[in-house]
Amino acid sequence: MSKKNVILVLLACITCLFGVVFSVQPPVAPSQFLKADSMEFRMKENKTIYKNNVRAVVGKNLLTADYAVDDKSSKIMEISGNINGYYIDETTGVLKIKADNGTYNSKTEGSRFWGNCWAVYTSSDGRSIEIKADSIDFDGVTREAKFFDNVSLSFEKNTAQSQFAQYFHESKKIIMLKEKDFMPVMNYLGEGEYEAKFTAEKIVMTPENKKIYFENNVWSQITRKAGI
Amino acid sequence: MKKFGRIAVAALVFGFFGCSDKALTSKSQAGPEQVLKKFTAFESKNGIKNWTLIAQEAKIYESHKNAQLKDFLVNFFTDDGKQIKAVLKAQLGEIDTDKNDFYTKGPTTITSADNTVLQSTDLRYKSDTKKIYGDSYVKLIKSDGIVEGKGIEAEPDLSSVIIKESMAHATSEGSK
Repeated sequence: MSKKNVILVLLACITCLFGVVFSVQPPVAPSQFLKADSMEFRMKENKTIYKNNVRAVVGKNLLTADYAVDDKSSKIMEISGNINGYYIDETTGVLKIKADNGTYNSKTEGSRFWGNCWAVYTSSDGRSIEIKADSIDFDGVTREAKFFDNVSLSFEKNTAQSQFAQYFHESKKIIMLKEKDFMPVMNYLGEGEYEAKFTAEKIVMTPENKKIYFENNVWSQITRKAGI
Repeated sequence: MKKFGRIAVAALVFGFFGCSDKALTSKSQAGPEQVLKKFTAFESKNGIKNWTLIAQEAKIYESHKNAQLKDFLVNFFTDDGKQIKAVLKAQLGEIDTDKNDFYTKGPTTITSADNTVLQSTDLRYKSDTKKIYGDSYVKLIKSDGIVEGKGIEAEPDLSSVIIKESMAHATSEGSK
């Protein structure tokens, strides 16, 4: 990636997000462009300001926002306002991500998003994972993601809440940990007459294997569904 | 002359080709009062050049404080007036000799000292803001990419450029 290149900075931002969370590698981009209602190039400050209807397209990756400032000196791009990211891959699925604010550091290849962070991945077979958090950190080098504060996950018949969760790219695991005296909680609402609730200091999910592990101070509650 | 006499504009004649033999009341009704070759105008402040305009030909409508320009370029100078920080070139244009505003007609290029190039048509320089404005298609060629859009507001040296309805394309680093 050219660190001086605004478009590729945004591309890296998008691919970082998508690659980290969902292990989807971007295809070779047939087209790359960045649009905005207004671009302001401040050569002395070494900054570029993008205003209104900011839209970065790289192949099938798309990132839109209201406002972005690319500081070429600090290598940090600040993005704000209705951030929407889309990644489409016919073979694996579609990812959408939303946030109010974000930054991308092209030097560290790290991204941070905060404010109504929301991401959903829908695989080609129709399964989806939805994650909400107050903020999300992405490490473009390790391809790991950290979700902070008021984290909630939803996939298939499971929902989970915690104050911290982390995605590990290599092992394809999502780990939720006890944080701020808040124990991670996993809720299962099956088709049968029972529903289950689990808490543990550590909950490990491997969505690809459809397995969930609970460690330390595990507590479970299985109850009959209301009205049955 | 500008207010307070801070800015001066002068037309220097290096070759005189002719002038009209009648007083003109409207430039649309008759020819120019003078036709000059190697027309030069400049703007300065406290004796320091801001820009100089050189046209191969200028049709002077003195009664209208206007000159029609052909094959002209404008050198914009640094704050100390010693170095050229950008050059504007156009085939056609005009200058308002009262306000020191000038306009280009048709294809126009501005090249900055760092080789950033702006291509557009029908630009206007306003002396009061010392900025260049345009409403037509614009193309900004930078070292790391090309930006296209419609509408511009820029410092003459391209140190600050606002492009509206803009679209940026990446180019290979250092290819420009």
